[in-house]
Amino acid sequence: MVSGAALSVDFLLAAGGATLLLIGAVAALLSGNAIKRVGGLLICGLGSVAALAAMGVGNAALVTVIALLFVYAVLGTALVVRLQESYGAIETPEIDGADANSDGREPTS
Amino acid sequence: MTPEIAMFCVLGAPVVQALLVMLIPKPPGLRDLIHIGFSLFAASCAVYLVSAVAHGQTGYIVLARPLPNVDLAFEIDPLGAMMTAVLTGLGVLHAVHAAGVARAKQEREPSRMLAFIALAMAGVTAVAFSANLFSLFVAYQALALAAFPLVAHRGDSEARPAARAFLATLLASSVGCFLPAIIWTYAISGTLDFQVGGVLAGRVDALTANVLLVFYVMGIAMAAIPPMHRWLPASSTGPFPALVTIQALAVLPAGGIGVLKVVTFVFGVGMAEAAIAAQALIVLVGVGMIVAALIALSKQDIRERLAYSCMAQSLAVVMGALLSLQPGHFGPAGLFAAALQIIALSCSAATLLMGAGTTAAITGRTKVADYAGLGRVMPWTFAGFAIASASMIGMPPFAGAWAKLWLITAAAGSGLVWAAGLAAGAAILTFAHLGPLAASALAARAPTDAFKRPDGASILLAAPVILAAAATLSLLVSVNSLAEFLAPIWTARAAP
Amino acid sequence: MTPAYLDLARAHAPLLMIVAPLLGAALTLVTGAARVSWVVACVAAGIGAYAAIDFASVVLGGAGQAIAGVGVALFVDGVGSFAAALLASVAAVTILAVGASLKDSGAAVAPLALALVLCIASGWIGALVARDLIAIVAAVETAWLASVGLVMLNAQRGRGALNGALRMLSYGGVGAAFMLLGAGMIARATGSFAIDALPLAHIQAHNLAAAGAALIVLGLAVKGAVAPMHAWAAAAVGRLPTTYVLGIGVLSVLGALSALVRFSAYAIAAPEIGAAISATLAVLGAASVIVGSVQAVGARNLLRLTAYAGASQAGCVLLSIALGSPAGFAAALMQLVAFSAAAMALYGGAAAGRVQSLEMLDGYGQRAPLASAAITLGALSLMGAPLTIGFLGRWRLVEAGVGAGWWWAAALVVVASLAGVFYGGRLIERMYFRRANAAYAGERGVWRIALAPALIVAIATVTIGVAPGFLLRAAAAASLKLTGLAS
Repeated sequence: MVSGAALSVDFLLAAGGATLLLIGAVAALLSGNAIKRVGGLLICGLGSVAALAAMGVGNAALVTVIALLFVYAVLGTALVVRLQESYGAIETPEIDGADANSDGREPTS
Repeated sequence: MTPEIAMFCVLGAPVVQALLVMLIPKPPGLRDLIHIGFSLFAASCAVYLVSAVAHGQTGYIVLARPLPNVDLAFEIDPLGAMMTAVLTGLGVLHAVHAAGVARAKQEREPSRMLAFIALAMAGVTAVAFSANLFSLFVAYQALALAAFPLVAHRGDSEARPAARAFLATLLASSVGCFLPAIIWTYAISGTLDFQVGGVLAGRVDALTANVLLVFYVMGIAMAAIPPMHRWLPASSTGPFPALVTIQALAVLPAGGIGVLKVVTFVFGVGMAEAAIAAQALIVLVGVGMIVAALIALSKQDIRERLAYSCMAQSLAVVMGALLSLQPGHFGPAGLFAAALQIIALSCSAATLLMGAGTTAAITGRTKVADYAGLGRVMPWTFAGFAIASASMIGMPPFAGAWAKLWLITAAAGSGLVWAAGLAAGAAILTFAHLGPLAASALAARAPTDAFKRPDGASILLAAPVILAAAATLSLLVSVNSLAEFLAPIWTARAAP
Repeated sequence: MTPAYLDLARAHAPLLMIVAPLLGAALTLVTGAARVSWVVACVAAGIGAYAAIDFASVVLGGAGQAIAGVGVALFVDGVGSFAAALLASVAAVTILAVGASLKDSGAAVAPLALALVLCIASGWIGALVARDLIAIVAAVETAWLASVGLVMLNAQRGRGALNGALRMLSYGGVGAAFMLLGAGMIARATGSFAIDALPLAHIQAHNLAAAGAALIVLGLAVKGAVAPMHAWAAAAVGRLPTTYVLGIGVLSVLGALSALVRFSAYAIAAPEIGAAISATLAVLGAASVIVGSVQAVGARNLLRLTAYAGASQAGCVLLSIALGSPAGFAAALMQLVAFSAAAMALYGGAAAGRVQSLEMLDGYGQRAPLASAAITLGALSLMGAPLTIGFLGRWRLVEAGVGAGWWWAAALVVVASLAGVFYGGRLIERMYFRRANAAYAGERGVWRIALAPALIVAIATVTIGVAPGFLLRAAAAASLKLTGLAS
């Protein structure tokens, strides 16, 4: 039997945040598209913000996390743009394939 | 001169020699002079050490303290001093011969080859002098690394895989078996120092002792125990001077010395706890001797035949060492047999390989079938070859005979008559693969086809062979004094 | 006058080792010219390294000066001071070596790249002396984002680096989220974010605290390229044949592993969660040794091979700290030194000749003898060849492991060394016993004075291996002051 105290809003929020974090993590690590990966990362970060907020950590910690999230978003976006410019693709299998091809090529002397 | 200085000289001279030979590759005369001169110096220091040990002096040097309780230390004991004297003494002859081969065959990068030969000699000396298991391990690894360029010397598609197999077998077995055994010993006894009577004596149960023995014997792959012997046939792709170093003077004897030191100073003579593993290993080694001698019979290339022949001889060393672990009073006899066998192996294998090297340099022949009648053209070389063959087979009065005699005595005395039988069988098979070869070389009609170098062998190529062959006779006069000299290693020190 | 300032600086050394590289980073950005900014960066890194080493010698030298709490934000302990000195030295050597590759990615970005390397150093050192878990995470992320930026900058030369940067971003981001969640859970369970409160607090919710600590360990393990979470490392360093690779492959990984060692020291000391953390570390360590070794044996790219070998070495570090004893932590610190020396020698030697694939090593011994010597010594140390520092680190682990009855850990060390024989032997064979492939025969090694650090570090692997007394004493002193100097 689950007591009412255990099933408080905070607990549910924290559990929801952790779930969001995991979903985001799966997307960030396994998605085949660079934009989706960055998106997954942001979902993952938001999940951690939610979980931390639910656990009642101080404002300083939340501000730190949100700042970090912002930097990740900026860097991720820049990276996606550079990938599109360099490879003409943002699908990771295509990018990996292009790299594998250039690995096999002998350099010209 | 103190024993310590002499030890520094024996260990350091080859290293300086290697550096100088690399730095002064030309003129060849100067390079060879340096090579021979330093070898001679190391050998004289080694002889001094033997006399110092005979007079009861001791020497102990610490080069580094890489671990809190463990030193990189070297010590002279009768076994180490004797082995070093024999090997460096033969090393002088080999230095002369290597200089001759390098000239006659126009070997590529001779200075690199000579330098690594010198480094390998330093390695085997360090193995013989090692004062604890850690130093033995370091010296063993250094020797493997120094010998690796000798196998890979030709750098062609045949030498490269051979060198890879050589290094992989030696290093993998030492890291995979020897090192765990060292760690285990350290965990049991809290020390790695060699002790007369055995570090493990009275400290281990039977199971641990048996497992440890297997780990040690398999880990010291330089002794060519099957299935860790692959490096030995692989090494036969090297040039002849490299082969002499690997199979007669450095790597193979280092394996024998290593096993002997471990058995004597880690387990202790007559350690009955390890008797089961010792017997099982004696079976393996005995069968290995027979099979190696049979394979040698099937090989038509002289280098391959001699490699397997040397393997059979080296396994006899291991058998002697293992016999010393059998209960009874014949433990010392086993150790003595092993020590004699190392000396016999070094003298005869060096002679045979140098003889084959001379033959290849002069006639360009390396096939067994092409040896017929060569003795009539190159009488000195093949006289030496025949004497060394007789010693390998175990015919009296040559060195191999005394070793075999003691081996069979130890086996029979320990109640392992079948082991004596295996050793005798191997000797017969050795006769089969070396006897007819030597006989046909001396007795058949001289070949009439052209030689590579019709002017014959220079003194540099012929003299070392016959002198090394003469050395196989040395045991005839010195067996007794040798037994007295070595006695301290199997007689535990008097209790204080 | 001057001694007074020096005393002030010494009194605030922990702050100085963070601030000096940061100030240096700002200055390099201002200077603009590549060479000038390099000199500025060298000075800044040098000051940081001097401060860190001086501080470590004071703390670990036996004086036992109680400077555990430095202000409100910093908290110095044995592991932190030892690892900060190591990290600052590695950073200084990295900056020196980077001088050889200044023009590789275009002179214009060189100041930015140098600033990023300094930020990496500053961030990781911050993580080693910070008190608050959130501050630690913030410091870690500063360093990590700077690493990602450094990899992205190198895409000027080859686009492959972008792919590595993407992996770093996604893996690192997930790791960061784990660490944040873990920090929150620990704070919830112990009532404080302070790292030194962990062993002292009476933890009510064991499981919550243990899960939180495990999440932080996982997050740091991702950044320390511990297998099987090291996919980013191979991708990021595999196409970075410049000396910048030292900033990622050595500095960043070393920082993460050091932070992991430091955090674990506190977590294992907490009686309620110690066993769980120890088990987590042991499992991760064993997996990393096995996966890293197997991948290194199969690798066909020298840089990736080094990354995999590093994962195997990182596994040994984790196994050491999983033991939880002072001997284990001392072994871990020795292994950190061994890892950085070997990895710097290998990466540095590879960067000297822009070597990527193993085929490019053929005949390298002739073309670039000094770089080959560095690679050889690094490979020997990775093999755990005796008389190298690699052997020392592993021996200490085996000693500690056998002492605690962890025979399987000793067996894993043997497995790591055995794998080292195969991949290290292959490198040596290629360099010295093969003729150069026609395509690379003309390419000679780079002969610039700034490449000397790799060689010096390589020689240090042997000298320290032969005479390790001072290092062993320092590591032992650090392991006795695991959770703060006051204790």
